[in-house]
Amino acid sequence: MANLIDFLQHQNLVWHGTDNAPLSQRSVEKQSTGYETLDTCLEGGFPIPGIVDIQCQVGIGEVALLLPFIREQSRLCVMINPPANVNAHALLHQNIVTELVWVLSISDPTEALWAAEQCLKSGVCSSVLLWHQELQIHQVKRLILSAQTGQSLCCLLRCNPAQGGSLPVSLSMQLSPRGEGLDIKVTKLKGGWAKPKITLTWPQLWPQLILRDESEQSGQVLPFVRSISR
Amino acid sequence: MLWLYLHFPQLQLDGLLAQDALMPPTIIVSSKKHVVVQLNDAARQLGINIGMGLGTAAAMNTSLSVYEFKERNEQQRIQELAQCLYLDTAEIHISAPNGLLLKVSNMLPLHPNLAHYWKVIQTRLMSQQVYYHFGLGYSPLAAQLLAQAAFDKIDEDKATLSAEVGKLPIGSLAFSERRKQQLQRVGVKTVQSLLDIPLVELGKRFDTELVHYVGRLQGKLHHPVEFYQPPQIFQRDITLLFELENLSYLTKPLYKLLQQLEEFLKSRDKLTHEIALTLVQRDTEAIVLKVGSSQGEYRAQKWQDLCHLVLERTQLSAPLQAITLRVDKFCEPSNHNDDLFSEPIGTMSRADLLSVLRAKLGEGAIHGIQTMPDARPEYATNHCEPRLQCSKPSVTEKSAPLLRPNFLLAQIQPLHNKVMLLQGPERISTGWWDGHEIERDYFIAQDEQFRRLWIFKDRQQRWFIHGIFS
Repeated sequence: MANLIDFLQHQNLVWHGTDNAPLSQRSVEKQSTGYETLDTCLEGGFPIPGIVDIQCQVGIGEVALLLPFIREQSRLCVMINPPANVNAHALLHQNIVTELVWVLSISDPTEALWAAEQCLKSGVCSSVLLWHQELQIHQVKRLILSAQTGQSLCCLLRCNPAQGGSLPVSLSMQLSPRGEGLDIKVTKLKGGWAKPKITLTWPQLWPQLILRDESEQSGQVLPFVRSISR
Repeated sequence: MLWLYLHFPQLQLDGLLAQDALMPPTIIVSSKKHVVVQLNDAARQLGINIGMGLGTAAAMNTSLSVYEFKERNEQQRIQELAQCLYLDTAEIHISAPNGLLLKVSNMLPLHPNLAHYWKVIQTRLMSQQVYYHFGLGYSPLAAQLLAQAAFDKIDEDKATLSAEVGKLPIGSLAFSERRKQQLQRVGVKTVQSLLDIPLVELGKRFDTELVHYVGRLQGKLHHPVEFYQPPQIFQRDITLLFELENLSYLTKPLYKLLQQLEEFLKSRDKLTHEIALTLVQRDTEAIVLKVGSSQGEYRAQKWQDLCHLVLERTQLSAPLQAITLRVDKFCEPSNHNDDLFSEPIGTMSRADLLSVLRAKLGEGAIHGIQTMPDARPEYATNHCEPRLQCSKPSVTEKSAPLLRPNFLLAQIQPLHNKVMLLQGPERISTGWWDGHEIERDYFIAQDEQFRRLWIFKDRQQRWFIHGIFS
């Protein structure tokens, strides 16, 4: 039995409770996400320092989910390899100080990780948003250490939930879109218990982005016929 | 008027010695006559002398390293030395090709005595690791003659000095062979015997050139000197002892250059934003690397770290022979107005982070964003220099916030999928003045995967995707 536990521990498959964890790991500060329902679910908010793994497809409001948190920070927010051009006007209209946003576009995935590490540990960044698909356990561990040095939050945005959920992150969430909002399933929360799925509705997530009324949905859209490309 | 002359007989060799004190027998050979012009002690012990032909010298030992004499190299070095001594002496004349003439008398009031002044100069020269001879004199020429004759004593007594100059043979004067013979034929063997002849008599027998020379030697006639002005740029070269193929071996020689830069900047209380490294490769074009530091820096260690990152992503195409470090723009140290109360985390500043990222990833990989007053969405966001200081969150006039997607596609894409319109239309019709006219009706739509898209219909009723509500 002890052998088996040792083996599983070695594979990082055993989750220790926080009660007998070392003090340094227990004292994780939580910062509000800006959404009441999510805060309750996460027992206070995003862990700082920490790594938050967000699995979702692009375009369902995943950045909007992080914006209230970013808005509260006075240090930099670095976006590494965002899937498209960051729109300064959008951020401005959501009361984000655009001067605090740096965008990095790096083609080499290893260099992107290096940059994330530098930003996290520099102490001048409050958060790093990293769009990265393939992450190894040791890479995440390095990011954790950097985040601890710089007291920062690293958000991994990935869209291939196929990869095993065994990355040593502080918080892992799966987002799935619905007509009226966003389903959030917390698959891992360091020091917390399993949580039921919660839903953030669009009025909560993006107050302006509300269906005005049903009659406006009747627009006629004639999409391009998808060309058969070879 | 007291003058000090410093004579540097082996500047190029000193440059090599500074890199490695335990050098094998080394000679430097002039490229025109192929004779030895400089040599180290190890070579001297083999029996090689200055003026010996290259062939004879090479026959003495098989493991002799031979370098070509480079005049430019020496000229540059003498400039550097002048620059270094300028910190202690205001009036320096560069006496080509390898001497420095320092006007001592004007500097003496700052020192208790001459010995103290000389000690300061000596310490300064020690740091430069050069071999030199020196001489004092009451005319520039007298000082020069003594220095070149390796007088090497500090004595300001006028009589002693003139006696010493008098002892020099006539051959040590800078005359043509014909003139020397002329003088020797009339029995003038030493400088003293030349000085004994009155100038008027000299003028009768010889030409005015000689009279001028003697007059200058005695300090009776004016000796033209042009005083050195330190340049406003920093440039240093190192010729590597071995050709390097691996850039990681560059660390040590580079650090030496950076330390000199640190000295240079520190003594002027300046910082620099950018240094340029030139890597001279064998038979190939040199690589010029720019290393930047966003907030300005002088410390050698910091520059070393940044250079390391830049060198990491540099590929040599041929073995490396020499490096040059050049800085031509300087800036004033800025006074930080950091917040006294908020506790900083770590030791880095935004500028440090930016410099490190830029050094490793290149200039283009990192940018900030700013809004532009343009209604066309593709022109409304501009890439800009990442901000190092953040102005206070500006209180924007309370206009109704517009609804804009967080991400804009780099290329507008035709809409292929079936979507449901949620909001709109918002017509943007503008840009007639610069040729990028648009007339679009923007909508927010939701596709079948529940993604929120920013789509528009153009004048021809075609539908495109422009942004994503991430």
